[in-house]
Amino acid sequence: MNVDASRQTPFEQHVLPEIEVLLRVARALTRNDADAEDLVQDTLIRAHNGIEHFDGRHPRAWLLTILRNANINRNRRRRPELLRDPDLTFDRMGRAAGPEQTDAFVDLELDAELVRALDRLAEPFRLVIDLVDIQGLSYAEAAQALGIPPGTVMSRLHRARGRLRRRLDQTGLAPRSGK
Amino acid sequence: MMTFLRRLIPRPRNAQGERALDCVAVGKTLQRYLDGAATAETAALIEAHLEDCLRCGLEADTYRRIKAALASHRVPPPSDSLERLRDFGLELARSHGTKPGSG
Ligand SMILES: [Zn+2]
Repeated sequence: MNVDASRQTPFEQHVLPEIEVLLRVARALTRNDADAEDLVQDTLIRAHNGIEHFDGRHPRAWLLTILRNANINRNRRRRPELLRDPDLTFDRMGRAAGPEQTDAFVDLELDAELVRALDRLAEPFRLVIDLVDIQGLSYAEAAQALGIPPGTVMSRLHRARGRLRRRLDQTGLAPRSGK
Repeated sequence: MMTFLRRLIPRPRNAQGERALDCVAVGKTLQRYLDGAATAETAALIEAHLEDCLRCGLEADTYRRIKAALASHRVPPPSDSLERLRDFGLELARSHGTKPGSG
């Protein structure tokens, strides 16, 4: 992969390295693997068409905005009730297997309850958790992907975590600090 | 263990004598702090409070566990999808870069 950067087109330089992030975000938005792939393909075509007008700064933010618009367009063409199949959630939340997983501190019981609690959150709250806490986007990147101000990302995120936390409280999996 | 014992003894001011944050103020900034988005100054004040305050210390621990559990779901996207999209991207890149007539 020793490609001379000076011979790369702007598209290769700015867009290709972001494909994985785009796919992560697309999966969070669509909750469906095939739709996510289509959405990223759409995004790549739009980015390719618009690359001449892109100033080279913050490619990820630029691409996330394109992806969001592409997604809005796609949703307009579909019936909303077809968009989300709750049965797909569990597949998507599947845990990675691998040796590095054993190093991380993971509380399995808490984790199972958390997955259930996450699915019960209203979509805007579930989405910010998915983008920031699961996919690892920054507040600013999540804001681009959702088309909302970073402050709104933050407040939604904090409320969402509070709800997850209360759910764990109810099941006795989180220490009750009030006692 | 030391941390736990320290939390049982309330201290109104931290070791540097700076104005300590109260629980309400910590509650408002705790998540930003856990996300690494608080300023260094605020972070230091929060850390001092978490050391001293049992309640907020436990609260922070709970959110850390939640964050860790959520982060463990960060799996790579399906490799076949990713590969197809990378190929597609390269194809797009070439379709633009190798237009005849420029050299
Ligand atoms: Zn406190």
